[in-house]
Amino acid sequence: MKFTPSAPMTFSTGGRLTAILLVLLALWNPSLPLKKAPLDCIILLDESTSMAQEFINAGWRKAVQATADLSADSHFSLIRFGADSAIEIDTVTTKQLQAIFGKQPSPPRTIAINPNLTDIEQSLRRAFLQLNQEENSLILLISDGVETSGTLSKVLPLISEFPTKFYWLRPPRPSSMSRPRILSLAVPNRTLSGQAPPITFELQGDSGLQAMITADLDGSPFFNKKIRFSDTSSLSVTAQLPTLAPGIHLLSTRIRWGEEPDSFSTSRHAVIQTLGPARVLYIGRKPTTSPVVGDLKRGGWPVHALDPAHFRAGLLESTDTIIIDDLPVESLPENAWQQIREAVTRQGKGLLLLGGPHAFGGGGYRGSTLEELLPLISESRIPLPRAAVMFLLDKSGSMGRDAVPAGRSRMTIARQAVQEAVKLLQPEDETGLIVFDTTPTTLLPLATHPDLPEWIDRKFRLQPHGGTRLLPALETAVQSLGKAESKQRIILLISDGYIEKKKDLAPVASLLKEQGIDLVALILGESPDMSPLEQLTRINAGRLLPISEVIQLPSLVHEELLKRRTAIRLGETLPEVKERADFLFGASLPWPPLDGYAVTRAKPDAHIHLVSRDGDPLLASHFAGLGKVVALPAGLDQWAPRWQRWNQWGRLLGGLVEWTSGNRNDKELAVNWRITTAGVKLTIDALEGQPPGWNTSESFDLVIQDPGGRATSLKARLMAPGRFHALFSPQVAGLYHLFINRNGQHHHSGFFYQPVYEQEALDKHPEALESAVTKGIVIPWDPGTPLKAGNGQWKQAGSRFILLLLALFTYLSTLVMEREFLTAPRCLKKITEWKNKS
Amino acid sequence: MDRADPPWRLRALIVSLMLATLSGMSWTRPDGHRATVWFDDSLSMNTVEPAGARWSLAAARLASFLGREGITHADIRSLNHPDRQLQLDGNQWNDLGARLAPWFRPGKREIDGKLPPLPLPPGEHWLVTDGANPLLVSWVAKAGLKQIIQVGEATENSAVTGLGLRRSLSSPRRLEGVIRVMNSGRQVVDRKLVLKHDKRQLEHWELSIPPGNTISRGFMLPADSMGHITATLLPPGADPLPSDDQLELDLKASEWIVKISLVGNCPPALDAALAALPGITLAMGDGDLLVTCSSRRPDNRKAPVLWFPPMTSTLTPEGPLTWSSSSIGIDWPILDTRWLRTSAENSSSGDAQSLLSAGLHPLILQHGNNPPLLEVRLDMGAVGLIEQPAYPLLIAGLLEYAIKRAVLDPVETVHRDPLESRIEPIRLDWSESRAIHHGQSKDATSFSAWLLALTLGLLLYDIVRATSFQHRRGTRKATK
Repeated sequence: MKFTPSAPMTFSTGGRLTAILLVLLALWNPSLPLKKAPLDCIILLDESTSMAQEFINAGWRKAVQATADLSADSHFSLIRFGADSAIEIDTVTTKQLQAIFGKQPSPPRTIAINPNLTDIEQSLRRAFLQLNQEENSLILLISDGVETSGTLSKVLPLISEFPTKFYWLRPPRPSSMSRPRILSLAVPNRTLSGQAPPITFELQGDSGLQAMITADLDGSPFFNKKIRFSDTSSLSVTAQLPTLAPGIHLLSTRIRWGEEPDSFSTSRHAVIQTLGPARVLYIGRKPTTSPVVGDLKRGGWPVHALDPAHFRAGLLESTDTIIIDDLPVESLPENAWQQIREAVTRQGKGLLLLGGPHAFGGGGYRGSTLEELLPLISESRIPLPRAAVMFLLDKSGSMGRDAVPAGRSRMTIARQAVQEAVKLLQPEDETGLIVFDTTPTTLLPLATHPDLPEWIDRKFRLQPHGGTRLLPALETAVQSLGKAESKQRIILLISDGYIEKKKDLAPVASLLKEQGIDLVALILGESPDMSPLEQLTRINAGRLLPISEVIQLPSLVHEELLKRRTAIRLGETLPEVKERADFLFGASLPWPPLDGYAVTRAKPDAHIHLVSRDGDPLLASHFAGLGKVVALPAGLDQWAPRWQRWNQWGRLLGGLVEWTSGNRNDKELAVNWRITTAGVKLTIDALEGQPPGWNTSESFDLVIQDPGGRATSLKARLMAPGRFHALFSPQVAGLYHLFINRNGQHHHSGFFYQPVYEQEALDKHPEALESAVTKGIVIPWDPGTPLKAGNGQWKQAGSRFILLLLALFTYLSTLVMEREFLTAPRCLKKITEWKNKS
Repeated sequence: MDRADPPWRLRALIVSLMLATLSGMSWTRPDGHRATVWFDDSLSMNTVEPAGARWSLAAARLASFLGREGITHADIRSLNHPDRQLQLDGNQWNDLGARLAPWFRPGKREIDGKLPPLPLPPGEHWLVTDGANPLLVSWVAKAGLKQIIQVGEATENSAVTGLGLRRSLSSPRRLEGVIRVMNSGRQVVDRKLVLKHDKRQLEHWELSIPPGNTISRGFMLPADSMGHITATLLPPGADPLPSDDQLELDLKASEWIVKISLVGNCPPALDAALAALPGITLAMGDGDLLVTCSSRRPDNRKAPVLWFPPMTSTLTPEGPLTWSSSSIGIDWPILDTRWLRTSAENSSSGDAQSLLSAGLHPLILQHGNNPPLLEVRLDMGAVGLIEQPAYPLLIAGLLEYAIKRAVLDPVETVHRDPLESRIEPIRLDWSESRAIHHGQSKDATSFSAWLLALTLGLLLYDIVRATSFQHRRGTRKATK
């Protein structure tokens, strides 16, 4: 190619013109045609109660499908909202979105939101905070658009400030015939047991519309009626409630028409608290003959009495007070105790524990699930002295006979009796075991045997044979016990054989007396003459027990050892009032004495109402979780015969049952509640002292249990004398239980939370959004059309940048090339000159 | 030194302009730097530090910062009251304190505890605060602020946080009150609490309040007290925030006592029940409520009326008892038809609205609403009814429904959010504040367009200059 002056000129002009053209294009800033711009896409999903789940799920699926057409490196976020909002998906690419959520029928819902209000303003603000403004963006709102909180119109103008397109997918409007409604439900919030009060519905519907109104109480239908709306669009219907048992009842009413499915907008609920005698579940060994059961029934209390074998958890549901009467822990399986614990601590049922020889220490309560519930620990305040117990077991041939009707040998039953008896002993107690026929054999010398139960279980096997001679065995046992360190010394004799004559036993008798040994003799079957042995057992605190039914042996051994080795005080005890309670009317009356009681000590939070002269608790209470627990270590049966004959017995028994009841509301507390947009406002009025005055404590603790059983603690603050306020934000509609347990005061009531503002929203129009649609700020989205990003003027920086870069490159290239073209002839000339010189 | 070749200076300028546009450089007019300043006007900004009130220290520091940062226009907005706003320019920085002073005058302030909603509008945002509001920590983290001016060191404060009154249980002619005092500081505080009725001192207490605790004190007043009840912590100025050392309750005697005019021969049980209700006084002439047992329906009423028309013959109503939904809000007692007697004569209800009915038989009717007339078609002397505990409750409910306020147990309170009296500043971590991008501002957009336009102009000049240079060069060669 030959360089001519015109060539560089054409080139440089062309280069400059190209640069000018590119700068002009940059000034115009068009979008790039060949590549889909990445998007910042946010879906705002309205999950408030007024939105139908089917529509939410369908809207979500359509939105996910629509994102398949977007650029693969677009970012996607999902914000679910109601009264509050949660970022459920935080910035994933559309590719990831399709892979993870493309085939899921519903949106992920891992974060709880409160569906009882609709706050579109806050969710939109959250979306703006979430947007990456470096990218094109779009927001898709899936909502009915009716706000019940916040002011959307405040934030809508901001859309034009952002380079985003705002789409709105709304559910179809209801048909022209408006849905019938239950406008109100008039129902007493408190009734008395046995009453059947009326309820009144106020209904609204279009003229000519036919509907069915139904009502159920605690899930059981009791009323249904076909109605037809006449000229007046509102209608009043009255129904009679069934007779109400004491407790908290949930009344649900619904209006149905056509094929319309049940929804929150077609139902109304109310809670009725029925006051009346507590419903009692009695679990004891003598459900038919117990004076407690008989007298409660005579007093008008509904009592369900059963023995432990017939207990089932379902009975707890319709119970206000559970009475456990002198039962050892082993009489119910562990899961039954756990069910009782749940009923008391989480459902607020009352527990009245009546003691006796088989309860507390004697019932193996120490460390048990039951003891966790009680205000008392099954242990004396003063430790018991150590004991030395020698088991003297007959292994003669007659012990091999089968016991009728047990089908086991006497020896096997005797072994079982020893096995259970050792459970009552403390590890530091001394124990020994001598077996005998005609001669005694010491299987275990007297010593501390911490692993004794295990030893008996694994190694204690005997083959009965031979005759019976008691005297040598007794002498051996007495000799062993004579060397014992423990002060309390017991021989526990189990035999079915021949007993020597009185004169032969005389030396042993003097030794027993001298060494302070109690002989407890359990004699199986008919013995020809027991008088010699009877003489021995009269020494000290011994006892002779002829046993006709061999099967009774383990329990009698247990009982005898229990009396001696657990903290039981036998003998007359006069109760003294220590701390007053509502039902303890008898502060000024002399209380009848008790014949005995299990010695226990109080837990730190226990209220001790009655004590013995030694200061041992005789009646104690506390709250275990939500339920009140009252314990009487003496019980109300064999150790309290004079209480049963007392002229105040009826008041005492009824007072105990009512005071413990989970359905009891102390008159010192009154609770009112009101649904507001901020939540449920609780007002508590509280009294204290005698005579009653306003309670002026700084705050009040209360517990609210939601329909799922979760408990939330709240603090109500003092506003005026006796007046406390608290605010609670329910998350779901349903029956809420409210408990206050404070200084012995108890309150349990219920309220039904339903999102009334969301219900009212169904009648409203989404004015703010409809207005924004008219102005073109918001675009109604038809799921069949693609979603496009915003194209605000300053959002196309990508195109300008590239065009300007090209312009710069073109201009610089032109300059370089231009310089090269212009200087080349001069260079050639210099080279030619150099060549010529050389 | 050789001078640069003029065409190359032009080319360098064009390239520089292109690079400047590519870098996204924005335009800041030397005479047009604006900022929105969020000025905290919560109660704690009235705290008096050794050098002065927090708000005035903050105003002085803000003025200095505005000048130093070259801000020419400032939009000063209240952090807590959306309606408060000041538009100031550079000449008014010295007056900033005086202009902000009205925001901090003593008086009742309505604060809903909400901070300005995020995101903030596009532009540069500053915050001036003492940092005593714990909610600011998360707000600052998201607000994308350019500047935070924080003032205040004091931590100790005690405040009167509540004053409430209620009729006494033991004596209905007396009011029982409670005052709550809080110590939001870190040390035990000893203060004297004085209670005044108008200017007369009623009671005083010497208090020792542990840190973080609230204690309450009770008092009594006659139920007919009127005027202002004031609870004040003394000595004044013992803590750095005197504004919260006092609460005042405006007492209107009418809140506590209802004057009733009784007309006609009412059943003795009704008279007795009215007399037994706390807060009721029987008045001659006009009262808050007219209770009439005359046979003539009272018209031209000035006050609400409870009308118990006399009955010549009565019967036990049949059908379920139903309170209408419009009666909701009153804790009506549970009634039983067996206790009730109603008129055996059928009389028209007209356009009256039924409040209580037995089946279709109206027992209590409401005529009109302004003021209402409640016609009670129940024999208020019926033995079965007057023996019931529900009897006085029914009358109290009717009174409350008629006069639309609590009669049995009115409660008056004034209180202060304990959070407002917390003055201990929290250091706001500004470095964590996430800048909220609002994209390039429109100013910046137009600036880049201007740069491009200038580049375009220079390119056109360059092409003209280059073409003419080539042309001259070609002419010179041709001449040679």
